[in-house]
Amino acid sequence: MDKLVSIIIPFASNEGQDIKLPNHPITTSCNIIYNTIQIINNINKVLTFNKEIIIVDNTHSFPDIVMPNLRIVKGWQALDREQIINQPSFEKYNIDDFNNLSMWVSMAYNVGIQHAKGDYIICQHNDVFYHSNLISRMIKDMEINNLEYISADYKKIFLSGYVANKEVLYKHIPSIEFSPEDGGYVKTKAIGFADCYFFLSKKSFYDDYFVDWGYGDTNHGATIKCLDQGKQFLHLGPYYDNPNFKTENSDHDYLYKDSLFITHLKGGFSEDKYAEDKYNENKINRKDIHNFQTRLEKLC
Amino acid sequence: MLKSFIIYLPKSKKSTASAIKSIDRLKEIKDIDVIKWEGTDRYNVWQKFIDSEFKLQARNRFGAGYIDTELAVFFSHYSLWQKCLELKENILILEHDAWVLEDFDIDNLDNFKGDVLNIGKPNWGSIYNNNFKSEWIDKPAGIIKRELCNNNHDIYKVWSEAPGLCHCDSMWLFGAHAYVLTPTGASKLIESTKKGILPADLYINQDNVTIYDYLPHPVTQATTFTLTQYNENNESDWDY
Repeated sequence: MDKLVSIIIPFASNEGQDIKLPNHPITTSCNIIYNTIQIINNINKVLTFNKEIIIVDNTHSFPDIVMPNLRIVKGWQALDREQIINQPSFEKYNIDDFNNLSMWVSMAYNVGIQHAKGDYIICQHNDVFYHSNLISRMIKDMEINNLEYISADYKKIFLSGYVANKEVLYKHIPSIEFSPEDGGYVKTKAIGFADCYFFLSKKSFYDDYFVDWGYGDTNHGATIKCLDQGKQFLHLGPYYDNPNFKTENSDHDYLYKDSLFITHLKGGFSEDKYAEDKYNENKINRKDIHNFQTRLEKLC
Repeated sequence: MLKSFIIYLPKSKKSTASAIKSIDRLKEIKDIDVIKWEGTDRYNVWQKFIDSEFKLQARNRFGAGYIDTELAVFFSHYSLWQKCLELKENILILEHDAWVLEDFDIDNLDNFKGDVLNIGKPNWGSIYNNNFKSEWIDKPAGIIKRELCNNNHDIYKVWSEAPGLCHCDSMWLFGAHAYVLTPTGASKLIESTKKGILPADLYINQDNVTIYDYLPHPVTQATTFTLTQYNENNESDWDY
């Protein structure tokens, strides 16, 4: 494959806006830094096509390292509000709430996309690793089948996102159920939504779209955009944690055409799941973490 | 004369001051001139780690998650293992808070022929549990080769009171603040990095090298100001 693929990965020591960072990265960031380095190693080892890896350092606390194919760009989260407002592209993004955590991670992707030189863009988390080099095949399939994107699937729309977008959502998903868990969410009966655990598209997909947070989490708008425009897309299964589709296990392995493709330790780009005190706090299954660590280390 | 090195972190006034104090103490007790050796600190360890292409032997052995601090200490020691090979002679390796408790025979260190001779009192291990007496206290004086212990140990919590566990604390160094390394030992330690690395004191273990102890251990760790830069809740532990 001669096309350049830009792989965008956000990083943050802390997802909140008010970052009280010392002069150096906080100690507990080291796990996320280590994990991100291993994910970069994994990409370089498994994905053998022409690529650039863009780390968007949202909290300006990622170490200044040199690795093959890697560029580190600074995200907006650590900037003063005035500096953010003065960014040339600020108006494009409709930022109306500086305390929205999903906004910061979504904006990290948007900043990465601004810097991307690739024909195709992969947005992914720093807790996703690749088992096999299926991207070239995916891109070919996207071209043959006119797919706008291929994405890992998210489970639900949070109630706040539903209320804010009721009319748009009702147009596409008239049949819904409300569930009370996690502060309340809407369970659709038919589909899941795009997210950024893994999201592959042409760069041109972003000509009339930016990675949004208006539906309660990152990038659900990509699915809405395709539904609005009558365009095709593909969500990868199995659909872990998606109440619409029951799964038999919790491995968080995603398949492409029956081949093992990626594993995602669900969580995010800044959660320090490896710190001892986080196990109980985050209700993390220790066995899952160790399983993930072992598999990641083997692949790196 | 045995070449002696003390690892310190030059950016830290506290580390530098501690190292100077330890150097003065060694000069006073043994008339040894100790060379200050710049260690790796956690703030610039990542590129070193990437360039080394080392793998972690077991991620969950790295200080309950403080990977950067443990890596930094490892690289500080690793650089002296390389120095030992370059010099082709025994060297004494100290951390910045090594404190000589009593006089010792320097010729024994200079003429040591094994891999590693530990002269530092263990600073962690089964002694964390008040119900276990440190076995080191009762051992006879002299240079003693550690036995390979085949009993069951809880390698994550060696102080565990679970039944059937051994508390010999002989598997690794339990603190790498003072040891003599021979070129043979250095060669084995460097070669073993192919199997993956561990925190420095865990890495100096009986699978990688033969370990001897100079008893009673004449050197201790002076303070709780460890070379390992833990400071989750107290940034002021480090002054830079």
